[in-house]
Amino acid sequence: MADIPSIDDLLVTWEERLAQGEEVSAAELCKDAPHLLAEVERRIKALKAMRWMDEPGRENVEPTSSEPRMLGRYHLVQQIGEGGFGEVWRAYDPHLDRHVAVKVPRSDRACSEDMDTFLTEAQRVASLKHPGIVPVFDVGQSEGGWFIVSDLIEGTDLAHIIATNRPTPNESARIVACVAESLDYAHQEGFVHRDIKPSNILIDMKGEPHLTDFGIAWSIREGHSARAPFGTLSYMAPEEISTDAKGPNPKADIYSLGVVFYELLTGQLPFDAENPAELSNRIMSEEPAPPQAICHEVPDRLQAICLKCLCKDPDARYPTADDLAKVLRSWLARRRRLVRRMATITVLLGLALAAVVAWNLWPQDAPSLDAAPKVTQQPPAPEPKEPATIPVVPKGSVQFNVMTNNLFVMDETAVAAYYSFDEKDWREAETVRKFGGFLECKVPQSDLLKYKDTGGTIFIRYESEDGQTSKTHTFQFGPAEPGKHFAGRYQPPTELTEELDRIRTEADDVLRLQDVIEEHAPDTEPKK
Amino acid sequence: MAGQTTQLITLWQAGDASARSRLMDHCCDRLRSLARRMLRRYPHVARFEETGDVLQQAMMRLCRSLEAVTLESGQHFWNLATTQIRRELIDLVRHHYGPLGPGTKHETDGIDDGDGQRTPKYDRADWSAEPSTLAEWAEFHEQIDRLPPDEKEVVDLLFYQGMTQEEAAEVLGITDRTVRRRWVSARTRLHDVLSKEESEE
Repeated sequence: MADIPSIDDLLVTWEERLAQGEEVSAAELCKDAPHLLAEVERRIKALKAMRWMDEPGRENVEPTSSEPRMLGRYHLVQQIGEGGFGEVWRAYDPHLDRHVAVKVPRSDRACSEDMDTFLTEAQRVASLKHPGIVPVFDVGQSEGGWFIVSDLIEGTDLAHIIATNRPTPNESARIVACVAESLDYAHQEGFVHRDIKPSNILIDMKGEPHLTDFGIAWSIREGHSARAPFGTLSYMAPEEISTDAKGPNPKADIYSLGVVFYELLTGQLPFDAENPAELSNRIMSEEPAPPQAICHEVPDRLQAICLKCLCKDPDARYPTADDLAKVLRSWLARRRRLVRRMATITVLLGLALAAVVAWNLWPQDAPSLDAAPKVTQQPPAPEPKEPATIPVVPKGSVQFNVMTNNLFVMDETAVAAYYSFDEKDWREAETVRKFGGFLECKVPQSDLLKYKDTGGTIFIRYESEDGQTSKTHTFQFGPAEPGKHFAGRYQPPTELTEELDRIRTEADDVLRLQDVIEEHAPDTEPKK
Repeated sequence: MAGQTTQLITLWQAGDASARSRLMDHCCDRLRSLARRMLRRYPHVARFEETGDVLQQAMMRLCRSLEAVTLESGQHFWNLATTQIRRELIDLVRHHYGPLGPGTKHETDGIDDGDGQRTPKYDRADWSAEPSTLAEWAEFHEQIDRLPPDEKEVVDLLFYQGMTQEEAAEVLGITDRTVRRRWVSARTRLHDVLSKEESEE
């Protein structure tokens, strides 16, 4: 046993003492080895950060408790959310054998006189039928109080998506357009939502938005003059905050949707403050920072549309939610047309590039080029029987393309591919997609970029469903060359990429010009 | 199951067929609980007891692959089982991450960079709490795969298989203290690597 303990030993001691309830300082741990102090301190910080990995056997969330709670005929299974006015539960309906969402309000929010209003409102909301609006299935009362049963949307909500994985401007425009269309339908049916915010916009597993929590929440608030809870205040239109007479105001919904759009584009709220009073003040009197000031890649047109929704004067906003939807859709359509044109240009340039490269002699056996049909290495399998329209590639072969760091295993039974640079240290390539006849994987850029100056050899094996491992395929690749991609991202610039950049800039200019023209044209039917 | 997992290997080696199926149940349970943990931040996503769904299929694939295993040693079995579990978890991320993240069909509205890269994006400067998105979980699982073998073994048994330190020590044929040392080393290394990853991207 060494006299001076290793760092890991010191840390083990630290953890053991911590488990007994005593936090030992780094200084004390290192009193026999003071040169280790800085490193030990650093590692203690790291261990504290990774505490969540400890006790892996503990279940973090056990959805079912021993006695299921019932509301009416519904078995409450798992709480899935918490709104300003109560909880949302996943529940099981034994009559129709399906899962539903049950909203249970907080008991301090409802009183018996509201019950009639609530029921009338609920009946009206149940009449809304639109693919972008979550339908209400049932309402009920039990000893716990009253509750609303609606469709269960499998997925997440926009609040979560904004917080963890904010969509691109294009995707944001699409989401807002969809919600605007749902909103317009509801407005036409005589409804005002009054509580548009990201947590009320559910996103299903296909990425489609669904608007929920229509009107019902409002019915049971304590009187018309009460201020809304702090959380929803951020999305409230200025005229809703200031006036007492709260007649139906669809323009307020448009404003709230504008706030959501702002959040999608920038990740922030247009107005924020420490307390409700200050927040109300800001909403009513200050102008929001232009989205581009926070996030420079926001397109001009989207910024303009967003700010129009956020006008203090309701009449300055879009007259109807449908108008908002239309301008967004026409912007998206123009964008798509441009992308298609760009894609064609890129493909043509790619073919030109391939032709140029094919003229040069490769010094070694090399992987295939981007646009041209792929060349494989030592095809082991017999000649393919597939028709000529599918790229003629023998089954059981592997293709590696160092330019896109892609790996294709031409075998429908393949489930995983492994790569190595020395035939000893094997790692799993990440699967991108399993397709009809092949498995597509990626070799990490960071591993390949190590060889960008020297080139190297990569060994590939793959595993089939039945657990069998293939033979080892070998590919040699050259170092990174100008004008060609290497490991997907790395590409020394050439005149060809400069050409592409030039085209992109021109395309952006054209778009901007079109935006300017549309700005000055009357806001009527957009040209298709 | 705590404390029994290692016994099951011995029983299986002795020819007890039911021990083998209980082992597979254990592995399937671990897969389910780790998957649930990954997806608990997506509370609207379906409960995985429902038939025909993704986790069910992942569990079936796991069982099929384990059925084919001939038992060479406990360590060998755990190695295989954990690799499979990890692969299924990463695959779950690929499957579910699709509609909610960049690089999906909805991105055809946007402009392609030209190099075809569609890496899921995440901003993770601070790893002091459990991963909150599937992309972070995938990164986490993948980095574990790259740990030095002796540290990875310990993480596999403690984290993926939910064993106690004593059980892990028994399976690996080392002392408790060595297990603790490697567990400490693995976690500090993971923290370093994960915190540095996003700045290299």
